[in-house]
Order: sequence, then structure tokens, then C-alpha cells
Amino acid sequence: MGVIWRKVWRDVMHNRARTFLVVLSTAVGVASLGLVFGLSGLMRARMTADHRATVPPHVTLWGAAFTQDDVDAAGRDAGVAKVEGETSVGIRWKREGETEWRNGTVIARPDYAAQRIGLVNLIEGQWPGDKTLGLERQSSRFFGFGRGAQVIVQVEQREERLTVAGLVRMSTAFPPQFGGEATFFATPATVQWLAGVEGFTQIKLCLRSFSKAEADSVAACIEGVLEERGRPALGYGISDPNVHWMQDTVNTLFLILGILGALSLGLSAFLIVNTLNAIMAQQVWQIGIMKVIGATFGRVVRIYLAAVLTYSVLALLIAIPAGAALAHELATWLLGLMNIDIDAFHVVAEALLIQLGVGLAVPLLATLPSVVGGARISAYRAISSYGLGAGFRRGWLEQALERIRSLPRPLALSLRSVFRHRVRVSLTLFTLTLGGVIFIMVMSVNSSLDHTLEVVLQDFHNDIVVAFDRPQLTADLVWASRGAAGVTRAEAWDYSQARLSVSGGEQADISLWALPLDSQIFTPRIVAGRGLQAGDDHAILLNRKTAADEHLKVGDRVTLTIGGRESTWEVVGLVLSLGNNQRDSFVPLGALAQELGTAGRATMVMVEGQHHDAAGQQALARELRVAYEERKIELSFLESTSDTRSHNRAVFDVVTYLMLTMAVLAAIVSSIGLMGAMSINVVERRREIGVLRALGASSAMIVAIFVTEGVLVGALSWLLAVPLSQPGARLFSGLISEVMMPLDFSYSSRGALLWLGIVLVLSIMASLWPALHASDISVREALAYE
Amino acid sequence: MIEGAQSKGSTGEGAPALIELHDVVKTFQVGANPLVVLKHIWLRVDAGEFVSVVGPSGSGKSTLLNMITGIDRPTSGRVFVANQAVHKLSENQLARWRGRSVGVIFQFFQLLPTLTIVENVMLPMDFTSTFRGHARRARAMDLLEKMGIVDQAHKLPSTLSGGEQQRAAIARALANDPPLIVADEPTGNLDSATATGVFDLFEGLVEQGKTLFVVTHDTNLSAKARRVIQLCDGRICQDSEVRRPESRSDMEQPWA
Repeated sequence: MGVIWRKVWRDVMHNRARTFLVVLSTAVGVASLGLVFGLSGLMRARMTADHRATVPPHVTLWGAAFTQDDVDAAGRDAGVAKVEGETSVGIRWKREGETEWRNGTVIARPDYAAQRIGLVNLIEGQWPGDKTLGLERQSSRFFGFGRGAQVIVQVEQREERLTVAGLVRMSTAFPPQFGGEATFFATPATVQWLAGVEGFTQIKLCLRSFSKAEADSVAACIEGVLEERGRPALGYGISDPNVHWMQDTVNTLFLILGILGALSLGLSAFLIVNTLNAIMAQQVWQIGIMKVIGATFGRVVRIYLAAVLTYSVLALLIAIPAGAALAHELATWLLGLMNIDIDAFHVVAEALLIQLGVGLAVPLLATLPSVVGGARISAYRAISSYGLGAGFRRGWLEQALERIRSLPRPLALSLRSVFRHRVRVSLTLFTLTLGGVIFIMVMSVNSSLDHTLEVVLQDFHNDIVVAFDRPQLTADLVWASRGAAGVTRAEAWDYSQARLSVSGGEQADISLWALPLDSQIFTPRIVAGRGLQAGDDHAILLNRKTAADEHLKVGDRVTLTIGGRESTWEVVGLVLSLGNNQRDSFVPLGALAQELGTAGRATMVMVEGQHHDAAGQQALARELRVAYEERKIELSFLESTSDTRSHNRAVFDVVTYLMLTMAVLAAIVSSIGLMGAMSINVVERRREIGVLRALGASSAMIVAIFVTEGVLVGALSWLLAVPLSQPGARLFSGLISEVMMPLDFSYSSRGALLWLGIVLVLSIMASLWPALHASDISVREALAYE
Repeated sequence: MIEGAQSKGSTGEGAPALIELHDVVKTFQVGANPLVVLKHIWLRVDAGEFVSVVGPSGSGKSTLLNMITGIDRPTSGRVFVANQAVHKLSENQLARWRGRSVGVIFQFFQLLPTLTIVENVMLPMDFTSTFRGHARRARAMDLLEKMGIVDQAHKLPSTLSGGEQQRAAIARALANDPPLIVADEPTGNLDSATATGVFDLFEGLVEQGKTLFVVTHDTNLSAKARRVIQLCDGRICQDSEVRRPESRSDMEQPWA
């Protein structure tokens, strides 16, 4: 190894603490990239592979009781490659010894051994048989029981006990922890025995060649066929077989993580620049000597870039495995939420290449100006020595600080020392400020998510929402609901998907909520026109976003396709509604019923009770169930707004925890920057420390001076971060609104205050070690010439 | 004091001049005021001379040294060293020229702390590629042998005494076999016994044909020089050859 390379290596190893800080901060930034790209690579590959392996249906038609002949008839369409029927019914179940009934879903397939579409896998035990059940794996984990357990199922007025024969994995099962119900599997005969349902509730199709247009066309044809056969479909859904059903949500997560990862990398780069500036400052005299003995500018540049490269390689040795491990752990957790098993641990090639490229290139590019600046110094300037006052300028800032006369001298020393090296303190402030901005941004998004949830729920004053499998007589529903104790108001509603015809012959999917014209439960936020009122027929209160996207306004007449039938509606108003990705619009109950052919019937009830807290709503829910059972009305879904809030909160928590992880990383990198800067300050001010000691300063006083300096920098960064975090948080929330869900922005003042506490603590901790080192320096050491 | 004295080489006309300074002025800006540190210096040093520069603090000795080594540039005037117009070279050209043509010895040794002694000596050879790669270590060890510190070759500078470090610095200055050696207070940080050893080394170098240009306060060292230049307030106020004294009373201190 050449002498020059030995100098590089030994300089790196000479100050291990500083090397550790630089390497760690670089590693954090590069590991963040490894986490993001590794996670993306692991998840996309597994999600796509798993999704394709299940042979997902391209089209699913829902109905009441399709027969096998109906299924076969659907299969005869020219565009259909495969067809299969499935039954899905809601049940009430509990375990032995429990008092509360829970909602559940039972899925029945004609032949589990010969599935064709939407495959489920037996992972333990046996397929369900006569009066036995299979239990979905996620449900088993969440509810804490498995194969061999007994489940009590409520069947009309009786209870039946069934044994779980096996565990089944179904990749499309909605996670129970996010509000999904327990999922069971049974034979068609068992379902008929339990729920009295004969036939299939779904027809699933795979097309010969998938495209949305083809799927729409085939679905429309089959709807016509089913209608002719007397068993019309209630609707259909289309899924892209190449896109996992949670891909959009996961993509949003990746985008958020990617932004935060890039910010962390930026922080690391600034930190490296700051540290290398300090190294160059410390090595000025060595640069001078090297130039005296023959080193050219280019040679000096190469020496210090080699040092940067050494730091980068050391950082990569940490970052690559750390990023891969974090990515694997996080992927295991996230894929687990989606009921997907992960492959054995491996490093994603794309992540590795990106980390290598960025980990080597970014530090070199970021530090190039510092290295060039340091190498450019002339031999004369480099070897000149000016004593304690070397490099001290007396500019406007120093003069301003000098005017602050009433401070104790040690505090004045700390305050004025903060600005002694403008470039270094600027970079340190930048990293700390950016760390603060990221933290407050994340807290504000979290606050906005909470606020948005409240805003969405605020439009509706109900405590409970009840849904039914089949349309029920409106009068019966209201009468039954009002019969439950604690009910103050009950309204029959309905819900349907619809397609809005837009320009260019395209159609946009929207959701229709149908409500009584005299509804007291819904108070819409009208932004144009008016709300629904008595006398309205085919009137629509259109979502503001839909109107903006499709260039519609109050007074326009629009064509909606509902249940396969087209009808014309008048836009009477525009509503601000954030729910369902701003796709919800509102119509009169009677008008929708007319289009669906369900006049006088509804499939939902909105119930308001006397008590609006969680316990009150749970009690009300119990009363309602009893009331419906007494009147033999079968419900498919009942949820309190408290439960809605907590389920949505659970989904948001996944995003929030990931963002907070990145915010914590940013905070760590920022404080490492401060520690590095303070360490360099101590080294450069050795002689000053010696003089202070010679004048009588105790160790505690030396520590206090340096810690105070660090805390002042931290406090100053907070003052900069707070105003910058306002537009930053707004921008970030806006981005999430675009890609994830619309957010009603709420700035987190609590987050700003929390960051003040955090940055002060981090500043103290980051300054303490260098300050303690400073207090160890003796007068003799500090004032001895090299 | 001799105003604008031109200092001629002591070996007489016809001998090659290694160093020539023509009307060199150096001014520093201190605040709003200019400080003229060197005032119209004319100087000629022939090859093989042993020259010492003496004078009180602030007289411009180190600045004069910096002019010759190219570490600093004159405000006006011309500097020629080893047939090179030093004042016209760029920083990079100066570095390359210095590595090959001048060996510099500092008062505080200035060895790179993370390199061993032999590596410090090899470093100038690496910068200028004057010797083939595999020959550099051998030459460095040979130089250390001549300096009497070959046993310290693989130690770090911080483990050596001041005298040993200065010997290592001399070895480094000789690494590329430059014709000119300049030293700025080379014994300023050494005890008298060690300093004497360094004096002897310098005499040995001169006998080998090197030109030695030393700035020093050390009267014993300057006494060994064959030519003493005295600087007073930025000017050469005395330039004489020093005869070896035959008796104590013959000791001359022309700069007193």
C-alpha cells in the first residue's frame, strides 16, 4: 500500500470517534435508501407473485342466489376463460364462555380440491367438511384460536357448535386488526344449514384477455344473461389481475418513505460536508507541509477524496446489511398484514446497486467543494500560525453580539462562539433545522389524519350504521330500530356504486349515498348550490372533487348508470365530503330505489343514540341486534362510529409509525451533526481551553460553556424550523392528499413543542461528550506546541 | 546599515548562482495599513554556500525564506532559484519544483503525525516520483541511517525526541536530493547538545555540495556558516563571511 494511502487510512483511524460519527451518519442515510428500495423490491415481488398465484378474478358479479346453471351460462361468454361460483354470508359467532357475539363471514366453494379462481390454500388440518369450518389464518392469529377449536354460530334462534377443521390462507381477507371480520370457510351444504342460503352469491370470471374495457363489456353481457334468467346481478366489480388489491396503499407508503429517505440522505450529506470541512480545517497545516514537499493541488484533492471514499466504504459495510435487515423485517410485518408469506432473507439487487451508487457518489460529490476549497489553500497560508485569534473576524454579527453586555462572561463566550465558524454553524443549523422540519411535518400529517377522520365522521351524526344483505322494507327497518332502547333517531338509507358518464365517452366510478330528504343525521358541507330538499326527485348533491375533475357545475344534468340502467340527474349542489377518497355523492332515497327497483326498501339504517361515547354506542349496538332479531331482520353489518374511528386509526397508524421511524432517523442524524461540530470545536479550541483553565475555569465551567453553546445551536434551529415547517407540512400533507387520501390539513403545534423538548435534549446529549472531553484537557497539553 | 545593499555571493564571480533575488519587496496588509516586511532586497547565493540569516524578531527573516522557497510571493521584484523564476510559477508548479529542488526544514519539524518516520521520508518521493517505487523505501532507510535514526524508522513521530524528529525532518528534506536546503530556526526547539548534532549534520551536507540557507537566532549555528546575512527592519544591513576564530577574542558578531 503506498504511503499516501497509508496516510489516508491512518487519518481515518486516528480519530475514531469522529470516524464513527461520520460513518454512522452516512450509514443512516444510505440505510434509509436500502430500507425504502429493499422494502419496495421485496414487497412488490411478493405481492405480485402471490396475487398472480391466487388466480384472481377479473370480474366478480354479486347477486342473491345464482345457480350452477347461471354460472355455466356466464362461462359460455366468448370472452370468458374460466368461471366459478362462490357463496359468502354473514354470521354471528363467539367462543365458548364469551358473551359478546362477533360478526363473521363464511365463504363456501363447491369443491376446495378443484378450485379455479381466487385460490385459497390449506395450511393446516383439513378442508371444511360436513358441519365443520375452515378458519382463515389472519383470523386465527387475531382472535387467538385455531384448528380443533369450537366456534358457536348463531343460527336463527338457536346456537350451533362447529369445529375448526383446518386453517386456510386467503390473500384477499381483510385484516381483522383493521376492522375486518373473522373469515370462515365451509361447504355449500353447511352454509345452507347455517344461513339458509342456497346457490351462489358471487360469480367470478377470468377473461381470455384482460382490459378494463373488455371486462366492462363482458360484465354487461353477463348481467343481461342473468337478468333474462330471472336472477339479476346486483352489481359487479373489476380487478386488474396484475395489481394487488393493496398496491395503491403500498405505493403511497413507498412514496412517503422515499421522500423521507431522500431527506435523511440529504441530511447525511450535509453532515458529511460539515465534518469534512472540519477535517480540512484541522489538516490545513498538513496540507501546507505536503505542498511544501511537493504535493500539487490535484494530489491533495485526491488524498482527501480518498478519505471520503474510505468513510463511504466503511459506511456501506454497515448500511447495506442494516438496510437489508430493516427492509426484510418491515416487509415481513407489512406482508403479514396482507396475509402474504415472505421469502427467505436476501438483499434486493436494485437496493444494493442504488446504495452502492449513492453511498459512493453522494459523499464524494457533496464534499468536493470542501476538498477543493481546502486543497486550494496556498502553502503560505496553510503553515502560517496566528495564535488564539486565528481566523476570528469582527463582522456585523460579532459587533451585534458584542453589544449584548449584560451576560455573564462564560455565557457570552458560548453565545459568541456559536457564530465563530459561519460555514460550520450554518451547516449544523441546516441539518438540525431540517431534522426539526421533518419531525414537525410528520406530526402534522398525523394530526391531519386524525383531524380528517373527525371531519369525515362529523358530517354524519349517527352513532351506529347497520347494513343488510338484502333490501328491507323501510318502515320495518325504522320501526325495528326505534324499538331498541336508547335510540333517539333512525333513518333508512341506501348505498350503491354508479358510473358517471363524462366527456369522451368515458365513465367515472362514484359512490351514491341515498338518504331521506328530511334527514337530520346528515349535515352536508355545501360549497355551491344547495342541499337536497323536499320535492327533489332525480337530484344529486355531487362531490366537489368529482365536479372539479369532470368540469361539472350546479345546474348541469348528468347521466348515471346504476345497476345497469342509465338515468339523468340534476346537480343541485356541490358538497365537500372527504370520505371514500372524495367519491361520495348524495341522492334522494326514493330516486335511487326507483332506479334499483327497490321502492319502499333500503339496505342501511343510520341510528343516533342518547350516548355518543364508545361504551354508550356498544350498548346501543347490543340493543339494536336484539331488536332486529326479535323482528327476524337479518343484518350483515353493524358498526359504531367509535369502531370506525379506531379501525381507520389502525390503518393510519401503519403510515404514522413508518413516518415517525424516518423522523427519528432524521433527528439522530441531526444530533450526530451537532456532536461532530462540537467535537471539532473542542479540538480547534484546545489552546483557548488551556487559557481558560490557566485563568481559573473549573472542569464544570468548561463543560457548561460547551454544552451551552450546543444548546444555543439547538434552540436556534428550533426557531428556524417552526416557521419553515408550516409550508413544509402543508406541502407534505398535500402530497399525501394526492396519492393516498384527501386530508384536511392540521398543523401540529404539539409536534412543534415536542420538537423543542427533543432538540434541547439532543443538543445537551450531543454536546456533553465533546464538552467532557474538553474538560479533560490540561493546561500543559493545551498550550504545548506541536 | 547599508541602504539597498546588494549582496553578492562569497565565492566570487563566475561561480553559478543558485539563488538570486532582484529588488524584492514584500508588503502585508494589516488592517488598513500596509506593512513592508522586505525592502528592496538584492541577494545572490552561489551553489555550495552555507548561509545563515540573522536579525531581531520582525526583521523579515522568515519572509525572506518564504520568498526563496516559493511559499510566499514577492509584492514586487524577482526571485530566481536553481535556474527557475520562482515568482512566475503557479501554485502547482511551485509545489512540483519545490519537491525536486528545495528541501525545507521547519523549527517544529512538521512531520505528518499518522505516518511513520520512514513513510514521512518517502512522502516527497511519492509526490514527485523522482525514484522508482521500489527504490524509495531503500533510499529512505539509507537517509535515516545517515541521520543515525534508522532504528526509529517504523515509529510514529510522537514517540521520538525533538532531536530525533528534527533528524527525520532533515532526512525528509534530502529525500529527492535537492540542491538547496533551507531551514527556519532548525534548532529553535532543541536543547544545546542536540542542536550541536544538527549543526554537524548541516556541515556534512555542505561538504557534500548542498547549498544551505538557514534562518536562525542560534549564534553557535550561525558561527558555523561561512556567510552571515543580517536583516534589519526588512533590509540587508550586513553581509559578511565568517572566519573561523583562532581565539575567543577573534569571535566576531557582525550583527551585534
